[in-house]
Amino acid sequence: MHAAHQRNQAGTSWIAKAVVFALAATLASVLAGWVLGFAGEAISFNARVAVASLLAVIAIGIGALELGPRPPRLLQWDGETPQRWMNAGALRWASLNGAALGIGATSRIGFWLWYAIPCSAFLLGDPLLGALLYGIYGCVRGWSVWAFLLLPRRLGIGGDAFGVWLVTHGEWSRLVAATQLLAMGIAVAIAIGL
Amino acid sequence: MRPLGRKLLALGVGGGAALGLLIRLTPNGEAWLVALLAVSAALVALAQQTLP
Repeated sequence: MHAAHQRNQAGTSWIAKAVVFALAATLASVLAGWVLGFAGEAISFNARVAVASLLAVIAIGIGALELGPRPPRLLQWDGETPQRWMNAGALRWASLNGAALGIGATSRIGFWLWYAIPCSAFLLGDPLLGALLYGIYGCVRGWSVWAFLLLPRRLGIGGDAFGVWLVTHGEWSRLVAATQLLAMGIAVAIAIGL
Repeated sequence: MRPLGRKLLALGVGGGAALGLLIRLTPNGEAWLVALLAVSAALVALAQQTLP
């Protein structure tokens, strides 16, 4: 029997799976941001400003180190989403995987910049802003799957070749994310801390 | 530090300082701050597509 049948993945169109994946990622991230913003609301404004100032200084340090030859080791759960979800059915897998990646915390993070999202959603102390901010992350992460599905066809290359091309540009991504982290840390430090 | 790293460091410091002043000195500074955080969120989501 084909592996897809064994894993209960056959018989469902890739469009349906991609839509469910993207929707789950968006909804989960919006919910996570709302919860963090709601929790942050309970902390006083002055305390949030103090913590944000401290985190801005840490972001500056990590961003600068990441641009150097020896980047600091990232604190993360270095793995993929559980393989057993594949056995739960195509659409269930798409929704679980989408939700997990839309939140991002329980699988490979890859970039220190990721920590800015939950920290900001919490420290803004506003459920709506938290939902907006985290939602942008989940929305981009979830819906960008369409780029992976459509771009290789458009460019006339295989999906595997496109995947390899992306992975080989990981170092560029790290440098861009580190620059953004540094800039964000300095901007926040000047805006609220200094 | 590699030359590219130095350039990006300068870009990050300069850009961050300019954004910080924009947020601090303009009347709608909070909106600029949220926009900066939103760009960071979108950027990291895109960057994660290069993860193995």
